[in-house]
Amino acid sequence: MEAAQRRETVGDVTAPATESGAQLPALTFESGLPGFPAARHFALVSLEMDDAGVFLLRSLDDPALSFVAAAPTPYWPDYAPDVDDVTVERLGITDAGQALLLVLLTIPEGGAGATANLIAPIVINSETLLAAQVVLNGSPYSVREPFVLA
Amino acid sequence: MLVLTRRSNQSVMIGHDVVITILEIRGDTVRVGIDAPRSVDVHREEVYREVQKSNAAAASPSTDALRSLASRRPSAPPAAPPE
Repeated sequence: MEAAQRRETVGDVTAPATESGAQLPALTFESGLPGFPAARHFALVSLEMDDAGVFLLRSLDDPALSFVAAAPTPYWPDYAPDVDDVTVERLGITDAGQALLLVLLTIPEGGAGATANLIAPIVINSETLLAAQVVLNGSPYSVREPFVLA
Repeated sequence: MLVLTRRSNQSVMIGHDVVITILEIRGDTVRVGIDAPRSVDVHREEVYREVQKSNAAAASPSTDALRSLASRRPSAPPAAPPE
């Protein structure tokens, strides 16, 4: 059973990070994520990888579901997605300093050829913890930018 | 699928508050204007599908995949002995 297996393996990864106290409160995605419309609540857990800026988004609605995300700035210093006004307003972001950005990573078995989705970043209001995955229009970036852990 | 014929500057209403207007037709390209409430997300379908696919591929990586990613970093120590 693949789902059961995934639950166990993800548990292995989260346990040490959680014990080290790096768990943050839950993020709320009011409209879910593309492909996962029912996944609305995620715990954001820092993966203790020597400040590589890598996080686990662990679904609180479906224990088998998780995503790995990275802070884009250390990897793409010029990455400045143009988030539309509607999203900014929906998330209640009034000041650019309130917004946190993450990009989702796709990590194949074996770890080679990992990619980051720069077309659809996660935008988080760091004060209210409202979040959304924003699909950028006319972005010069790709849904599969090669990613090597720093 | 409902099929309607529209000319330039004619519109279609979906529900009470979504209006889709054909703005311009030139060759095989049609410019479409969409008026929708802020609660309705509007996307180019192929981009949205690509993000859906990417999310499905990104979902729930295994611990082994994560470990391999960590072992591939330039600053990684020599590979840890297998458990």
